[in-house]
Amino acid sequence: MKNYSLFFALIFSISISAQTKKIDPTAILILDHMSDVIGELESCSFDLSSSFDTEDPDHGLTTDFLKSNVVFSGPNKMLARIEGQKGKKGFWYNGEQIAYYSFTENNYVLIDGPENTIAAIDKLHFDYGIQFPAADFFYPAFTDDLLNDFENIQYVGKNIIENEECFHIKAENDKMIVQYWVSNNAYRTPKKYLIIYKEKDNLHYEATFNNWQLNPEIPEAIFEFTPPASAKEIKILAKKK
Amino acid sequence: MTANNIFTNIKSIIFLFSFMVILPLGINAQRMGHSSSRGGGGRTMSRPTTSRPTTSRPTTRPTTNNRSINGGHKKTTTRPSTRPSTNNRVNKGTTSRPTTNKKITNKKTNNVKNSGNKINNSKKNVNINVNNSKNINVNNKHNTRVRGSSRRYTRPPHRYGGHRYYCHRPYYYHPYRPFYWGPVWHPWGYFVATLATTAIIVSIENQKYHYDSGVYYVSSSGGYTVVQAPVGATVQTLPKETEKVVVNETTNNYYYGGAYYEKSDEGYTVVPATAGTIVPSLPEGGEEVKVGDVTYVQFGDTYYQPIQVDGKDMYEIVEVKEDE
Repeated sequence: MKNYSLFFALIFSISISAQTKKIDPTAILILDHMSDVIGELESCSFDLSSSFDTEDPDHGLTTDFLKSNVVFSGPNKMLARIEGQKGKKGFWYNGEQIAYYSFTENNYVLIDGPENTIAAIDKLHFDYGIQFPAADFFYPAFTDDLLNDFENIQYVGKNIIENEECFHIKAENDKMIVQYWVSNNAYRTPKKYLIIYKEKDNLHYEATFNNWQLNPEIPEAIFEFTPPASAKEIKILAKKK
Repeated sequence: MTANNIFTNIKSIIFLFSFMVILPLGINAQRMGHSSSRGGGGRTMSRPTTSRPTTSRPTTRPTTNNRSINGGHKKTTTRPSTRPSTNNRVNKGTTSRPTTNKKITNKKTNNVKNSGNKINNSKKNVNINVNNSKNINVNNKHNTRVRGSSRRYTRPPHRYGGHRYYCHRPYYYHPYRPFYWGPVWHPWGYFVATLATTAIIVSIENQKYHYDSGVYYVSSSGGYTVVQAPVGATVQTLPKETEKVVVNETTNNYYYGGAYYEKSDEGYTVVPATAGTIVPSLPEGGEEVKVGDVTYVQFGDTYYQPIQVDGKDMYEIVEVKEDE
């Protein structure tokens, strides 16, 4: 009989293990729809207001705010301007080169650009530690990444964010809780997201999208960086591989 | 089998069941340590990964938009089984279409190598007075080592790329403008045809230097080229523009032309820079380099952080430590 006990226990264990991943198909449908639309865009622009908790060496836990404007065009054009308490910076990617200009310090670096925008974002992130506003949404396998990384993805319900009805989705793993609010419009554009870092004292990162423009006509010239006459080109140190 | 035996066995099943309920949760919690890469955490969450398992069966949805800003939405992971439209596709079980993620990742790795080299090779010539035709074989690098600060750092370090950059004072950017110590001072790399009669000879490690008014020269074809002050060289006098800089509560250095000296009975001896030392100005020969969010001035292995002290722009020598 004890042999049977062990057998049953094993079966129970396997079935419970399989059940620990809770994926709500409704949530995935909404996220897929959102990613489908983003994947079909030939250009877009949006504003992003974000805030994040940070440990300030002089003042302890504080919250920083950022305002960003991002423009994508085709597979290999991007412009991002980011302004916050630590200054204002801009990134121009024209398909061949990435220019990173600090308005605050009036200096810039030029980096050879990879072949497409996502690779450019990756390069800046992995090689130079630069984080782009809302870049996650533009990864082509956004929903897959969530499915791979989170054990629990749930559709919470509808919510009003800045007078806009949104679908509220929550994803959770042992490191973080992420909540998405996706606009309940034909395009299912992302409206807001909030990340709670469990392993980092529940620090918050929150960002809200505004002024979405889908497939606008964007002149290519805006992706070309022309340094101000007084700006100085400097080096940039790549992160250790 | 008696009723008592059956009851005992049921109890053992319940016990084992309870045990197994708890155990897998713990194991599953650890499984997230192998999840998709996020480039070292931060606020980004869903970077495609090189080690992403390819257990899923790709859908056959083609990418039709060449102008797409991200190449089109890619769905390769199996969707929840209750999703009606996905089930059919999943059951078709097409197997080997490579994902865009992989392409990006592979490409990225190549680009990193190539572009990294290019970036590192694209050094700007900052020594505007340098005569590059005079190749002199002097290793100045040894004078850019930094000695650790004996004072404890109260500020957390700036972390970047596996290194920690410590400073006592907060970052305050001001552009790097090389300082000139006067008409007799010359920056590194400067070439002169003749030396003043006041020049003396200083020998360090079988290398002969000529010292005059705070500047060190080595012989080069047809003249003399200015080099960094060699560590260990001792001279009797320093120019009047030399400044006393504080190393710690008990030690001062003497600073002139980018060189640090310690005073002893024999005179003034060139020493390596000490982290935490604050200097009012930097000579020519440095390069501004962006290290994460901050811009340092780099001289070989020495990084200077721009700071402000009592409203004056200054620099603090950074202590760089490798992450354990």
